Amino acid sequence: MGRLPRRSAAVIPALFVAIFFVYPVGSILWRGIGSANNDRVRQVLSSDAFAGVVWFSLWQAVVSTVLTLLVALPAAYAVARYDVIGRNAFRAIIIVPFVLPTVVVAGAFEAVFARFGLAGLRNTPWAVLLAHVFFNYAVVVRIVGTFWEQLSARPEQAARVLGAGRTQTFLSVTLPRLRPALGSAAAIVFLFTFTSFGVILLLGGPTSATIETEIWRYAVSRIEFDVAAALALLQLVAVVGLVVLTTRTQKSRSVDASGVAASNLRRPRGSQRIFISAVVASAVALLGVPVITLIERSLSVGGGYGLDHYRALGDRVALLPVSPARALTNSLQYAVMAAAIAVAVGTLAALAATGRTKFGRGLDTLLTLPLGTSAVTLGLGILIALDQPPVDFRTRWWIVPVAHALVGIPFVLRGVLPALRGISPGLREVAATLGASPARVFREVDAPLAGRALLVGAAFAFAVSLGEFGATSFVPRRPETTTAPIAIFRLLGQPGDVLRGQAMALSVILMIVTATSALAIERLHKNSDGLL
Amino acid sequence: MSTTAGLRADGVTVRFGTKPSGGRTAADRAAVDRVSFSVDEGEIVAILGPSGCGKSTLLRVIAGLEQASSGTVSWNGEDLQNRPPESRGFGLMFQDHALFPHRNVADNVAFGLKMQGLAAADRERRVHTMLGLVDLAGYDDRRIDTLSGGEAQRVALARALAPSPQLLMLDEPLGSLDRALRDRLAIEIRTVLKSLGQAAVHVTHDQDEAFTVADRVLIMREGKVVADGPPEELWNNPVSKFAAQFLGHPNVVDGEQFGGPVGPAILRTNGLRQLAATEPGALTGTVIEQFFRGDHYKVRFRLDTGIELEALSLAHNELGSQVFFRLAPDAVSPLLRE
Repeated sequence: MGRLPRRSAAVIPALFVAIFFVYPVGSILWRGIGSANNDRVRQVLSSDAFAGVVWFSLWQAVVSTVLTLLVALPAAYAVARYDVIGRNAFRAIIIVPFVLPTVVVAGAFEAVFARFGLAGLRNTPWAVLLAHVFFNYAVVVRIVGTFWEQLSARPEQAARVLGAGRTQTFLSVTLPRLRPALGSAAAIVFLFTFTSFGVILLLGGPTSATIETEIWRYAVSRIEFDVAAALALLQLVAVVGLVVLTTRTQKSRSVDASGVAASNLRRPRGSQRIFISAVVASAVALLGVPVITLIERSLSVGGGYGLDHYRALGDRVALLPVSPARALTNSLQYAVMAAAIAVAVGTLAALAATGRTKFGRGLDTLLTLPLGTSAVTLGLGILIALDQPPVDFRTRWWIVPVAHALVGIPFVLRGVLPALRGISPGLREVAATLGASPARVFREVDAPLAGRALLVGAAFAFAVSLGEFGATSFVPRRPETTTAPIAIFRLLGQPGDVLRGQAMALSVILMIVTATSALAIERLHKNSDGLL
Repeated sequence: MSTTAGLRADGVTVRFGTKPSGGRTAADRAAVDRVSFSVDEGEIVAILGPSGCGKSTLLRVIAGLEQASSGTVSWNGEDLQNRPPESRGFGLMFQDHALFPHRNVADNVAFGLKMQGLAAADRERRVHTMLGLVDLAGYDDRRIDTLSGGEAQRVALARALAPSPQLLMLDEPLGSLDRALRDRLAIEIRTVLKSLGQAAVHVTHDQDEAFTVADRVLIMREGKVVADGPPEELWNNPVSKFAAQFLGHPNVVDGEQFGGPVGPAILRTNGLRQLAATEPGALTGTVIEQFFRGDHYKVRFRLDTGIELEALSLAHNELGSQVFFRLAPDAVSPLLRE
């Protein structure tokens, strides 16, 4: 295998990430460091108001994480231990809320508050917490549930025989064994909610501000880039610190020696059936009701039901530079382009990184960085760094799909790379001895075997692009490039039933497309364990 | 051996690079050390040795999957140095069978034919012939993950043979199978290869397998060839103590004590015949171990001199009882001093 030709495939991905990620985000960090002596920045950072923002950012993330764990743990247990009809369907369907665009989720909760007379919840931290649990339910059920399923039930049985009660067994045996999975699920939920943007902006109201929304406010509303850059730097330090901390604790974990059991699934009986029903009912209430209410609201016209809101999507609205229908078309086009870019760049990177060398790991890490960077930081970076020749890209229409692709590339890379690495070298060698040239080997062996992973990555990149809001809210300087999430954001932010109805209708369409791609991913991912 | 027909390896040496960081590694020793041997047309040569002796690396050099540090590999007199694996016309079969999981049985077997650009109808005919040859007629549409270990190896053999390779290389092809299946398939492989007049190099760590399949056996140790000859010759006269022990000779002794020349020698078990009672020149010993082996017993006994020998016995012998054996004069073969 020629090592050099393979490595040269890294040039394009490396350049891509350097120009569209490293340079912009690096500029922010540079600017953030440089503004340390800026009086205005010092004034903002030392204000009481900012202390409140930091406190709220942490507080809401911690409470969201704890609530999600509490609500989702019973479901994780049910999925791990009980053989019920529809178990796999349940596992698949709960992933839909996780991939829904944030603005759609905000719209769904707005719909719930309006429909059930809960207007009091609007613009409160409670609304934020509810939406965060809605989003991250699947994270806990998938990660903890899958881990739990693979744990043998024997130690628990031994504890019971040795005289421990049900609760005692759970607390002293099960919980400690689950710690690795609980830890990584909690870390992911915390990270997501700490950098949450659209949900806070739309559901939290003016009093709920996090570091993430403050970056946006200082950059977009107040045009104080120095302050925004300093905040972005601060947030990045916090996130990196958290990631380092979690990887440290994960490393020091010992392997559960009780072994992997073939199957711990059993059919529920008696009171266990009631427990399963309760789990399903709570999932329907938490995940199903907002989705169904959103659909119901989008169809409700005056006293009855109709498709009026959907028909109105083609009309120009005063608030928006283009019609909602045009925004939707934009979004779909950008999503296809973002997926295509992500597939091209991600595949090249995967080919270059196939060897388990330092080079391969480095490239892998470089291309995964955008996933760990908050969307707002990415958007801000493009806004302030890519505005001068030779990199005056901010006003080009294609910067939107390119920014979206940055987040999609890690999904393609993370899918294709293990698939390529999983192909036994013997297969390629046999193909070579049977007369296949290196190019032919790629076509006959690598391509078909990694193809499924590539499709999954593409579908992810597509779904991510379709719902992307944080970065996009900075970028388009040309009105005709407005995307569907931006349109929903603007429409939801205004009073008036007609506009809200259109926002709901647009949300429903976006939801159907993202849910379809998420379920397609599930189908393609035959043996998906873990979160995605 | 004097002709240039067939495969010739001359002084093939493979060194894996030392780490530039200067850490001490085992890389100072060559993985393959000046190995020379040849395979005539239609000949099956087994390369036998413990794991890590360099036999698989040697095979990969012949296949073109690995570069030799020095030495040459040639086919019919042509140096293969600059020929990539895909244009050498050699077939290769792995221990883990390496069947393409995304193709069915027929498509796996047809792969090499497709690379040769054979027409679809001819491919199909050839695939049928090959599947018939390995006793898998009708398996065409089966998925790879539905095959048993033995079936998978048969498909791998059919796939490697389908394009009529000049030389077939088998890398521990039966290593992952259980004993009984391994014995049966080893016979099948030899039958198939001989029926086609196929030249082959068969790498294995199992001497039974090597003896069953091959016309000639090379024994490798730490990168070097330490013995080379037909199975019977090697068995009767393994030359080195390492080869004797590796082939499973239990009685490595000092030859002089048993009527041979001074120095190390083997005492072949089939040259020891048990006697009902002692007679002049018989070996007398005390039974210290006995194992039931189905149609015979394996018995270990200690002579008065303290030397322990192993022999076959058709009868049961009590532990601690006296046994008498007659030693055939030609059962003692000298070994080189090491």
